[in-house]
Amino acid sequence: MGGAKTDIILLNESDIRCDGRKIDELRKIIIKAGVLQNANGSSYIEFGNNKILVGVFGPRDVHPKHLANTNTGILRCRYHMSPFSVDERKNPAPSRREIEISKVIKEALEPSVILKKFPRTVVDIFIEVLQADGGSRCAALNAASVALADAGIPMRDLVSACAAGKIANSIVLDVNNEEDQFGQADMPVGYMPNLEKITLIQLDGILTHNEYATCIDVAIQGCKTIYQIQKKALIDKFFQGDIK
Amino acid sequence: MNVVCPGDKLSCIEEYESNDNNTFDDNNGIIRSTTIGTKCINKKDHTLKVKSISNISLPKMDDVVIGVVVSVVSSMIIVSIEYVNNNKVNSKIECVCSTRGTHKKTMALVDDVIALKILGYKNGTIHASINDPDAGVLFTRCKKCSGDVITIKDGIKCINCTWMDDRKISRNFGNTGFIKLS
Repeated sequence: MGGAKTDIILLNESDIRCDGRKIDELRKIIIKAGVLQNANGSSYIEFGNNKILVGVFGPRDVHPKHLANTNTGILRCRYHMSPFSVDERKNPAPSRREIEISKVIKEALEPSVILKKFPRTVVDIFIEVLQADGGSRCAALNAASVALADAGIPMRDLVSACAAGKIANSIVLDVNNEEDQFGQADMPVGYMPNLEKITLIQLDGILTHNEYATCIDVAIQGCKTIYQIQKKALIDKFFQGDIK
Repeated sequence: MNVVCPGDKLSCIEEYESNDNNTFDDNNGIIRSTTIGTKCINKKDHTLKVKSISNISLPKMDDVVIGVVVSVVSSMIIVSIEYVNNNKVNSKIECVCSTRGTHKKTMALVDDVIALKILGYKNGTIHASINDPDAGVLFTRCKKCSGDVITIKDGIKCINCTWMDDRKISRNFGNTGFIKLS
């Protein structure tokens, strides 16, 4: 059911995936906060082979002025893949996929960000994908959340994101590029771990009811692990890691 | 030192009270932090607050801001804020300052550099006052010839064309270092 035909063995008999991970194992994640001097908040994430840089500006004056909301601030998000981020040169003009991901990330962050305190202002998030592998939207969402906290924007909770999926009839955590292309299903989930609320859920593929429930549980477990890494990145920046 | 991140539980509403801007009630009776900072608990008053590490560059009540006048209408001036408490900000947020009830014909003109005291937020707008002695015009030029001006009683006088004009002059007129940089 689902998935393209391939010679790649996505999951072997010992439940080891094509990149050597177990089914419930995340890729290697490194997050750094405050990497850009000229942005109000910034972060850099390495999520497996994904390398993403995020800059946050604001709250600042809205241009064009007619977009300003007198009751609340607004959030704008731009997800952009660099021409050198993929195997073949990518046209730097915004594609349909980039426009969709910009919208999805913005809507995933909106429940977390408290913009009521800043009417008539805008918070701009610029996401630059330097190197893309599968799951760049989740990686970008994780980095954007850290960058917003770094900028001091009031938030209800950090948003952590992780994908779960189905390959070779098994539910796996953190789908990579090969599993995304040749697997049976891919489900990115955005989650606020302290409030226990889901802010993003998408599903590409077909899952049964039980598989769907398992997929969500697995993704949420992944989000909770990523949350600890996000928190550590922020503490390392502001307190140089020494907490008592 | 109690380090908290956005969303971290601080206390429950029965135990402590918080009127701090850096906390919120999650509607389940739990007070949570909205920012990264340190938790400060006052056991005597049963209050708590979060001392934020990363401050955003928007002015608060009683802050002194310096900006450029971008628009003058009949009873108010609109100022684009450049400095908050002498710290440069790049948010270019605008505030309004009422000039109603003043006896001067002209409080400030467009492109004047002006100091104001923030009164607060109302109806989604930052309101500021020019009545403070330190508040008022810090730098201006002659309306007629764009020449340098000197202060006279209740206004300014151009040293080139001797044109005189009304202004609400700040006590610090001509003494601010940042004008030399611009």
